[in-house]
Amino acid sequence: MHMSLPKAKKKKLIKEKEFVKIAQKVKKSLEQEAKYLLEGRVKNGNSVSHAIYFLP
Amino acid sequence: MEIVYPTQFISSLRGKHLLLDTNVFRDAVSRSTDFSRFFNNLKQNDITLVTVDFVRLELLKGSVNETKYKEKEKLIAEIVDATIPMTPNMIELMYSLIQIYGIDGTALTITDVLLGAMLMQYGDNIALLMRDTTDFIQRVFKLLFVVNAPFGKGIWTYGVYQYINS
Repeated sequence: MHMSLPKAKKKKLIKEKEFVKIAQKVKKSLEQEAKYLLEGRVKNGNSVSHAIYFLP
Repeated sequence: MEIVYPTQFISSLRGKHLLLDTNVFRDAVSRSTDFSRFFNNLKQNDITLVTVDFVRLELLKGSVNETKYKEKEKLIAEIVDATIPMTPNMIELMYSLIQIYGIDGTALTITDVLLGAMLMQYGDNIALLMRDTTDFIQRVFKLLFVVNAPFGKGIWTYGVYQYINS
């Protein structure tokens, strides 16, 4: 017998324009994080992990 | 280009929960219009979009300041309808899963193990949408559907998985 899942408190639709706007901001953050990790690799030989994934 | 999925995809998940892996959120950042429409289509068809704290943590880590952190939080909140909490039983299932996987589990991340344990815990009430299709082996998890997101340079492919004994 499987447990029951938590119900959503409120199910709301995504407002496309607002979502695109916030996604653009987050994209910049992810690119910045990827750059930071790549620079770290060059300097210290650190693992790049999944960061390259965000590069355009 | 819109996201492409089989006709039965929506009907078979109606009334159920769809668990989103980290890379789905990252892809939604890159292709926000396509994904917002895809997510809304799922929501409108009574599919509850959920995630887990480990996925949230993977997304939130590395934020350069509080503003950036909050922007990510807002993005996650826009997409998901609920976050599934960890239960004590989940840890036991995680141990069970790595035993079932054996050598195939060598490259699994702890987040993958947790997502797998969630599928074991909630059976056919839940499915997982994930891009890294090498992590969920088909002797343990059933590949229900393949979802494709075509774009200018290629196609992102996602697997929709469910625990095989559910």
